Amino acid sequence: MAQVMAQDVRQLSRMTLDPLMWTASLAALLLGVSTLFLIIIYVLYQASGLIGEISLGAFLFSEAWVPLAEPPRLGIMHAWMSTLYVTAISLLVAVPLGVGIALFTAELAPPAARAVLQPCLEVLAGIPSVVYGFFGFVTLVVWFEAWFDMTTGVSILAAGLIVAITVTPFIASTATEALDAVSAGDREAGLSLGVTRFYTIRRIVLPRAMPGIFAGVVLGFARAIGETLAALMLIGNSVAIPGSVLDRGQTLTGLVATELGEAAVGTPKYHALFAASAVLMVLILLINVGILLAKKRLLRHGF
Amino acid sequence: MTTQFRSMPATQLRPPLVPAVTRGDASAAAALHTIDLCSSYGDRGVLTNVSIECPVQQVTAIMGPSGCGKSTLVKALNRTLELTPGARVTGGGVFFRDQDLYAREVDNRAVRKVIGIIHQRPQPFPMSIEENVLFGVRFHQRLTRHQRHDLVEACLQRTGLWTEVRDRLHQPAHQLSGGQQQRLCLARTLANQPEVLLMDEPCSSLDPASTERIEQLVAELKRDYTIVIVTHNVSQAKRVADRVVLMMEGQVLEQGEAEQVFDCPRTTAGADFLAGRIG
Amino acid sequence: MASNPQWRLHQPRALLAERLFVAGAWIAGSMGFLLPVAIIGYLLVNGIGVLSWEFISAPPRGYPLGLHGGILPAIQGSLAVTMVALGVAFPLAVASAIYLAEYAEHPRFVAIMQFLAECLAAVPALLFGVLGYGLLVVQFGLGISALAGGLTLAMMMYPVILIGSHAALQSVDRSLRESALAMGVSRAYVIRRALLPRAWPGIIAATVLAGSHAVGSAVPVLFTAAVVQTRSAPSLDSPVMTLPTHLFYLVSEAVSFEHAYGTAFVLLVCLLFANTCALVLRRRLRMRGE
Ligand SMILES: Nc1ncnc2c1ncn2[C@@H]1O[C@H](COP(=O)(O)OP(=O)(O)O)[C@@H](O)[C@H]1O
Ligand SMILES: [Mg+2]
Repeated sequence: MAQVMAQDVRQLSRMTLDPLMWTASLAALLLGVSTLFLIIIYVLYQASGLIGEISLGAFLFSEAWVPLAEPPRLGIMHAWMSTLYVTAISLLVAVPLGVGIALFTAELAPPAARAVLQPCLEVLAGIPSVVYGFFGFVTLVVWFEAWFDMTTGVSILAAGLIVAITVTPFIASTATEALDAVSAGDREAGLSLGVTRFYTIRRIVLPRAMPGIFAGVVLGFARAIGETLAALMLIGNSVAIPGSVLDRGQTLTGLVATELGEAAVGTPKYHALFAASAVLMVLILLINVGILLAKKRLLRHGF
Repeated sequence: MTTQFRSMPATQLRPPLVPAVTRGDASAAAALHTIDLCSSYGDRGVLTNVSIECPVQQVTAIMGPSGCGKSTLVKALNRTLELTPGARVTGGGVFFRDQDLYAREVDNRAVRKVIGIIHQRPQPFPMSIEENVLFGVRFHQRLTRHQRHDLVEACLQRTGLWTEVRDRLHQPAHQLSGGQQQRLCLARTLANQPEVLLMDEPCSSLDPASTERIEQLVAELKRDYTIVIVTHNVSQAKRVADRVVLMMEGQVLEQGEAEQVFDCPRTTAGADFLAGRIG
Repeated sequence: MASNPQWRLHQPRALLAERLFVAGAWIAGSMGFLLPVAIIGYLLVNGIGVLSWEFISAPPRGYPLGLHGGILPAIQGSLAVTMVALGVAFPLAVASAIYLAEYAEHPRFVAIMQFLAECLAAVPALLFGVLGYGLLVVQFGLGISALAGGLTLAMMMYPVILIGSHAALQSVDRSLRESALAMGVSRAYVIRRALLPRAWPGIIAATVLAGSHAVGSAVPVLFTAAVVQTRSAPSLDSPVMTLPTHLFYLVSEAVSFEHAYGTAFVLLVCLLFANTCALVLRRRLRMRGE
C-alpha cells in the first residue's frame, strides 16, 4: 500500500515538476544566450543607418573625425590606429611577461611560491579598469612628464602599458593551464636524456602547450582591443592621427564611450558610433570563431 | 679510457656500434654498483640499504612484487629520481666504475647521458621520428648534417626500426605503434651513446609480439652495453637475465647468477615469489 | 681523485641559456607578485588617509562637486544597480546551467550553447553599454536609470555565472546523480536535493566573481545609469551615482585626487573582500571534490 502511494507521489512529481523545470530552464537559456544575437543584430542594424552617408572605405580609411562639420566628416581611422598601437604595445609587454609568469609557475616555482602567486594574479585580474586608469594617471603619466619632458604625460604609450597590466594575468593564467596540462612523463623523459630544463621546455613542453598558450594570447588580444576606460583615461582623447607612441590618441572604444552619450539619436554621428562598435564586435567574434575552429582542428589532427 | 668514445666522429657509429666499454681491465667486474642505498619520498622511506652489482655487458634483472621499490631503485641509478618532487637519496651511494655518482662535482645531467633509461610507457616527443632520435645528441654534440643522418640510421638499424620507418622519418612520432614507439625511445637513448641502459618494465604496455622483439634487442645489445632491466615477469627474466636481484619491501632479498637464483633460491620468500605465490 | 671530465656538462651555451631562462622566469614570477602588491598597496596607502566617517556617510559637496563631502550616494547607487543585475542574471544563469548540465540531451547542443556563452563572455563591456543605451535607454524609453543600468550589467554577468555554474554542476560526481535517478525520483527532485547542495559553493563563487566584476565596471553604466550627482536615495527609474563612474568623473574632470584615492580605496576593499570570499569558496569546493 505504502509502496503504491510512494509510486503515485513519484508519478505526480514526474508529471508536474519536471516538465515545468525543463521548460523554464530551457527558456532561461535561450533568453540569456540570445543577448549575443541581440547585440550583433542591434549594433549592425544601427550601424546600417550610415549606409548612404559615407562609404565603408572612407569610414575606415580616408576621412577624419569631425562630426560637427557640415556635412559631418565621420572617419575612424585615427581610432583604429590608436587601438592598434595600444594593443601592440600591450601585447609586446604582456605576452613575454604573462608567458614568463606561467613558465615560472608551472616549471620552476616551489609549491609555496605558486600558492602565493596565483591569488596575486587573481587580484590583479580583479582590479577594475577605472582603477587601473586612475593608477596610471597618478603614476605613469607623472613619470612620463618627468622622463620625456612632456607637457602632459598622457599618451598612447601610457595607455598601452596600463592595458598590458590588465591583460597580463589573463595570459598568465591560460598559459599556466596549458603548461600544467603537459604530462610529467614528457618532462621526465626529456630530462632523463641528460639535457637541461630549458632545452626540454623549449623542445617538448612549449610545443605541446603552444595551442593553449596561443589561444590565451589571442583572447588577450581581444581583451586589449575591448579595454575601454583604462585606455581612455590615459590616452588623452585626441582625434588627430597618431604619429608616434608618445602622441595622444583615441581608441575605438574610447571614441564610442566619449561621444555616444552626446550624439543626438538618429544622426549620422549616432550611427557612425554604432558602426565603430560593429567594427570592434566583428573583430572579437572573428577571434572567437577562429579559436573554435583551431580547437576543432587540433582535436581532429592531434597536436 | 671511455672518454675517447666521445671524440669519435659519429660516422664511425655505423652498426655494429663500437662497444661502449673497453673490456679487459680490472674494473670489468661491475660497471655499476650501489652500496647501502637508501631513499625516500618525503618522510616515507622506500629503499633501505640496497647494495647491488650490475656487471659489465650483462643483463641484470631486478624483480619483485609491485610497489617494492624497483622503479625507485633504477631511477636512483641514473639520478632521475630527483626529478620527482619530494624524492631523495638519503644514504649510501651509487658507483659507476668507482666514481660516486652523487658526489658534489658530478653533474646529474652528465650521469643521465652516460646511463640511459627507458620508461615503462613509451614517451615519443612532439616532433618527427628523426628529431626524436636526435633529441639528446643535438644537445650534447655538434654534428654535421651528414653525421646526424648516419647516426639516425645507425640507431634505428640497431633497434630494428630502420626498415619500418625509413620512408617516414619526417613524420610525427606519435603515429607509430606502441611497440615501435618503445623501440624509438630505445633508439634515442642509444643515440646519446650511453654505457649503461636502464629499462623499467619496458614491455609492460606492449603486445606479445613487440615484447619478443624487445627481448631480442636486449639480448643483442648486451654485447655493447651494461643492461639493467626491471620486470615482474619471471619467465621474461629467465629468458634475458644473466644476473638477478630479488627485492621485497625496499630491500634486497637475494641476488646472484640467474641460474643460481632461479634454481635454488636461498629464501622461502624468494622461492614463493618466483613460483608466483607473491606478487 | 681528480674529477673526471666525463661527469661535467660541456655545453657552455646551453648552460648559459639555462641560467638566463631560470633568471628570466624568476624575474617574471616576481613581477607577477610585485605588480599587484605594489598597485594595491599604493592605492590603499594613499586612500586610507582620506577615509573618514563623513566620507562614507555623506553626499558629495563643494564646487566643483566632489571637492568636499563624501560618496554615500555612489555606494548606494553601486549597490542598487548590482542588486538589480544580480536579481535578473542569477536566476536566469543558474536555470540555464541546470538545463545544460541536467536536461540537455544532445552534446552538440550543449557545445554550441557553451561556445555562445564563451563568445558572450568575451564581448567587451563597452558593447553591452552601447546596446543598453541604444535599446533600453533610448528605444524602450527607460531613460538613464538604475533599471537600465542594472539590466545592462545583468547581460554582462549572465555568461560568467552560467559558465561557472555549469562547471560546478558538472563537477558533481556522476554516480551520485545516477544512483539518485535509479531510485525512480524525478530529475527536478535530484537537482534540488542532491546536485544543487553540492554545486552551491561553485555557483556562489561564480556569482560573487561576476558581481564584483559588475560593481567595478564603469563603462556599461556610464551611459545607461550614471549621473555626476544625485541626492535622493536610489530608485529604479531615476539615475544614480556609482563608485566607478564617480571615480572616473573625479579623475577625468580633475576634481579632487584626494577623493579619487578615497573612492578607489572603498571600491578596492569591497572587491578584495568579494574576491577573497570567492577564493575561499572555490578552495572548499575543490577540497570536497578530492
Ligand atoms: N612519487 C611518489 N610519491 C610518493 N610515493 C611514491 C612515489 N612513487 C612511488 N612511491 C611509493 O614508493 C614505493 C615504491 O614505488 P616504486 O619504486 O614505483 O615500486 P615498483 O616500481 O617496484 O612497483 C611504493 O610504495 C610507492 O607507493
Ligand atoms: Mg615500477
